[in-house]
Amino acid sequence: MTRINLNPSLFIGLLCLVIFSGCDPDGTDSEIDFDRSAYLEHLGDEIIVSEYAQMVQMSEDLVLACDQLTTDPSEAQVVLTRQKLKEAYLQWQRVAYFDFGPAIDRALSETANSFPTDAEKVELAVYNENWTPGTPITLDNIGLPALDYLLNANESAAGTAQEMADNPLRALHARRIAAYLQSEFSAVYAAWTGTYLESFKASDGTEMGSSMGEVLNAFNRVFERNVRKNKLGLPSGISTFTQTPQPDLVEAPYAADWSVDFIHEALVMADVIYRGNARDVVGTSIGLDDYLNALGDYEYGVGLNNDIDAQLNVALASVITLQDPLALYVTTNQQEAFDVYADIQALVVLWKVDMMSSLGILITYLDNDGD
Amino acid sequence: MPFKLSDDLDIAPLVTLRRLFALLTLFSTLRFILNDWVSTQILDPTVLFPFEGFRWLPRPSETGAVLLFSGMIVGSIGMLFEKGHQVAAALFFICFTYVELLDKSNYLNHYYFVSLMALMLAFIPSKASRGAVPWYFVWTPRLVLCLVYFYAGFAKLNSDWITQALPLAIWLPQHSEMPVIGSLFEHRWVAFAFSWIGALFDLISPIGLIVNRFRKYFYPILVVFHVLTWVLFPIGVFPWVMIACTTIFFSDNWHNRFLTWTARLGKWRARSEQIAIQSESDTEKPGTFLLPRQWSFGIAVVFLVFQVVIPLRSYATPGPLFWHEQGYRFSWRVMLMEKAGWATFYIVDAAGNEQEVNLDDWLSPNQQKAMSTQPDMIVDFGHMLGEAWDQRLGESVRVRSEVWVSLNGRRSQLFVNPYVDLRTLDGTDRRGDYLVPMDSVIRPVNLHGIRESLKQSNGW
Repeated sequence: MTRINLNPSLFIGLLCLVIFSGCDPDGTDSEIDFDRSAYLEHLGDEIIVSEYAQMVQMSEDLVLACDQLTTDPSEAQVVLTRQKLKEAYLQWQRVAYFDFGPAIDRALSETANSFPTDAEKVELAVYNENWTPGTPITLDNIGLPALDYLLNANESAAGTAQEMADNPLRALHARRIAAYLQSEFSAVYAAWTGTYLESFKASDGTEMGSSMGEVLNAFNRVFERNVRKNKLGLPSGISTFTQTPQPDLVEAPYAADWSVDFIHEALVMADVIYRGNARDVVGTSIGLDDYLNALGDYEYGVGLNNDIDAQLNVALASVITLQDPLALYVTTNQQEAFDVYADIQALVVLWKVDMMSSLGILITYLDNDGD
Repeated sequence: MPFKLSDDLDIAPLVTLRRLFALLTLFSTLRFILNDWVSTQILDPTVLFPFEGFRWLPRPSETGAVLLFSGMIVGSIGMLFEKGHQVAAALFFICFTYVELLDKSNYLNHYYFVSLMALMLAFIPSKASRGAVPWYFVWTPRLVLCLVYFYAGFAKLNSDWITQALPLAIWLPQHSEMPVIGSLFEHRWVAFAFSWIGALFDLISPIGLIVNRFRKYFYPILVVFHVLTWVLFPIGVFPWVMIACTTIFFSDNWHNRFLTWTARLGKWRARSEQIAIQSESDTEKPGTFLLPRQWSFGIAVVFLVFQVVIPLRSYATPGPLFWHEQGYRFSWRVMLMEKAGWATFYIVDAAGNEQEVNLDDWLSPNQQKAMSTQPDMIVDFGHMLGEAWDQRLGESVRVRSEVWVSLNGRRSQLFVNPYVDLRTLDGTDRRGDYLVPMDSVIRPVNLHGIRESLKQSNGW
């Protein structure tokens, strides 16, 4: 006996498909039109690798300048070296956000920019013939902050030149620090251009450990801790009971007038990562803003992007109201500093809470089950 | 199935249940250990968030953790054997539940389910040679499963799920790169289809599993459903636990064939034949148990009443449940929320000076994630911080928090009143003026402007 026996599960399945394919409660079938692999490719090639290449270049320039300082401790050479240091320092604000993968493997963030630096230890290290960079005990007397001390502690360039002429070990130590930085940046750059970039582009999901997850977790972490808290919050006194400003905690305190530039550059770079506007690249600007706009829901898509966009502009404008020397400003204009801090904090919430939940990317870098 | 108290049922479904469950708990325990979650969830964190009523549980040292997890492994293996399986189930239950009670951050509905299952298996004999058991021994786990599905389905009948397809509309598009079906997930209607079918599936599961005529069609759907959730969401072994445990609804005939079949595998053959012979000449009469039937039946009824009542706690508190989360745990609400938050805590000394707390010094990323959206954990943490700073400063401090939460794609808004001293709250009165009502939306940019008035109205 042959009888057509329609399996009910198949039947229900087909029925559901038929029902739902005709059903669209919003009136628009919002299809998500965002190409994550294209975004990762753009971010990897045109932003991350290109920024690291710049970082390597600038650190090489810095080594060269320090090198010349060892043979020519003149006022002009000090001025030039300071300028190279500032350029490298600014560039660091841009690559600091890529604190995952190769950068984490080499603890780049700690090596390059642990501040405040311990001036006494830097002084001791000057005389240490067997100075070995990269060990945990050197972290508070190495990197860009240590160079800020060596080159800027004496405000006068002529004075610094004189110090270096009197004690050639000082310029030599500056060169050792710069050379180590350069080798670390080169190593991270080499890791990216070696195999990491390809695997970075290939991991285009949003699961734990995917490239999107790595990028955004690092972005949020750096923005929240290193930018919001370390660069502005702590110097303004948020972590002291008495709300006493902590001018010693500003970034690059010896240069005195670089701190605000660095905060500004950090915000500019956050903007670059968010909007995907790589420098020197015309045309492509695929970014997280496009991702949100593509989500097809006003509340957590376009609307959220509008809010972030507005707040980002507010924060950028607000940061330039800060005045160098920041160490003085947080003391004389503490309330204004808190106001700027609040503007940055509002961005943290929008990025870390709203954007991350819209994109459905797990905020923790610890894996565990959900239910 | 009209049963008299004296009626018996074939024990085979319970034997299968126990063995499959044991294999899964063994796998799950080993997976937990291999993922290094013993360190990251139990040993490493500075503080833990024990459940109310269990704060007295000593926090395990490294040795303690080794013992607990060894207990789980031994218990799981023990459940595979015919002798001593109830003791083994009890051992597993105690060790597993102990670990789960240590920290609310790690709460998962499926861990709770595993605890309940182990508890039942500790009380219900399932030695194959018994041949038969009182009918309610088989039906207690069956009804618990029905309750799980029903409550899970009923909870989905909320406006976010039904009218917005949230949170699936957020989660599914992440899988747009999946081969073959990936592009489907980019469509909103697919999220609706998944939401509605998911709710329907859960709600009809009890019928689909109990009614013989439906089961053979329903079970394959159930397998597809759970495997799909396993592919799409990070929910660990839960789908496999449900796929395994729902076999208890299968016929006795199926189970007997299954047991014979498994017994035939390799070495077990001789042993199974022995068991077969044993069961024929069983000296233990079916139905002779330690407790009189009236008693064991009574216990089963009380247990099931608890299972019905516990999830209903969530309806006891007015206001949006997803926001206040009173009674949210243990109510089979699974995959219902995309809730993210960010919390900052401030210690305020007697002179009114305040200091922001560095959360990384205190909580693991996982704990931060859980705490920043769950009101009772925010209060718990406030107390922990307060006690620590009391000692440091030698004076009584206040603790306040600023918490921003985004729920199911809504923009983030202020979650708790930033000028309430968390230490004045206990685990029960955490609503009222503590939680900012969900419909009074205060955004980060607004707070700055209303801060002074908030301070004043709260007497700060």
